[in-house]
Amino acid sequence: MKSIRFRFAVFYALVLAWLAFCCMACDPVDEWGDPEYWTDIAAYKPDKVDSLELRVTYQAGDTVWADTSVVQDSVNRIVCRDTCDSLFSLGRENKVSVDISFYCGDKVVALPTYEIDSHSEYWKPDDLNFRFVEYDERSVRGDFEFEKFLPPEDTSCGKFVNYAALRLKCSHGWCY
Amino acid sequence: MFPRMVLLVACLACAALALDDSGFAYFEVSLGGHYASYSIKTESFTHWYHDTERDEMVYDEDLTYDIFSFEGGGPMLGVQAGFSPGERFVFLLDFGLFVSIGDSRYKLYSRDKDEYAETEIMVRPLFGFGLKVFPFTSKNSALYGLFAGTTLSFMWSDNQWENYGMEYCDFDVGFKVEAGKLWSISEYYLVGFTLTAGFHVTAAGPNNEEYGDDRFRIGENPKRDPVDEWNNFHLGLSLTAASKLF
Repeated sequence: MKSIRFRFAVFYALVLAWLAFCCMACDPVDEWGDPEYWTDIAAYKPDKVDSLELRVTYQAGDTVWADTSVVQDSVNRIVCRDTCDSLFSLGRENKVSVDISFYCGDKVVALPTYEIDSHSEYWKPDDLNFRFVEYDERSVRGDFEFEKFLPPEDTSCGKFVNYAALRLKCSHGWCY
Repeated sequence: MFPRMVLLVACLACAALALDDSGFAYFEVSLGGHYASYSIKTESFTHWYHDTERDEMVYDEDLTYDIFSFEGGGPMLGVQAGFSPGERFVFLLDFGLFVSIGDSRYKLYSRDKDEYAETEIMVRPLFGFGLKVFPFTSKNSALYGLFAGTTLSFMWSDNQWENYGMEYCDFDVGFKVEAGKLWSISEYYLVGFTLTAGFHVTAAGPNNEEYGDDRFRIGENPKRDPVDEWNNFHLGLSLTAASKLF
């Protein structure tokens, strides 16, 4: 029969191993319990259009998650917290597609699909925080990188030549 | 705090004890005119410009925005006070006031055709500290009273940036150099002229990161630091009255 001291040593080793594993693979969480890394994609509605549809599709391996939202407000935002955090914490290649459509009158104009390639590490999901906005450098504030312009091919609602994808810079789970 | 104060007081006491009989207090007032030029702009970091006439995006490596320039002149007042431990050198505090009347130009982007011009009166105070040198001490010399000096100086700007959605720091840092000639009119008083030139650069920030407020927002000026260059220049000529109090 094992001694109580031996049992305690094994228990202690297991706890240490679990903690070590967690440091490498568990999702980091902040003090409020929210995921530290989450996905936040927002599209700002141009004044010329009546409403804006934002569709975000996440594909991580065989798992697909999608969300669609149509709003008439100035900003349309899709936030994927727990689901995407767990999807992106598996060290997989991930693909995120962003489809934006403008509604003006009885017309619907689709912007080119914006594809984001992301590779999350075992210890850190990728930060996917994007803003889609009519870009004017004098009036866009924040810490971001310019990605590309997404003018629609169909110009019946307008040309929107300055509608751009901006990637927010994130640090330790905080995105600006 | 207290030991530092004691040290400072001790240093001042030592300086005071080190003064010999040739030391004197110096006071000077100058009144004259000046020419001033001022410019400021921010370099684009994406270099993309929306040409609204052709409704297309244009890439411009030299794109700048929030562009302001001023050129004008007016009266200037200068006051200097200091002390000299010997005959040649004066350590001084420098106060100035510049009233500049001229044309201001505001432009949102460097590629814009629209430019806004205004006639403005800018009232700009200056504060500095530095050193003035009187190389010739013999009163029999014709060169007696010639001087040259320099100060590390700070200048506050005054303009209508806010009316055009521009946000810059109103505080400029730089230096002022001066040279002139004084003639003795009595044992303690001198009069003459002073030629001054000032070079200042707009102090960096406060930008978003320094505020810790860099959240993504639209419709607000990004408040990035301007192009780092000597953007504030003035050249002045003034009549000067000075006193050396032994």
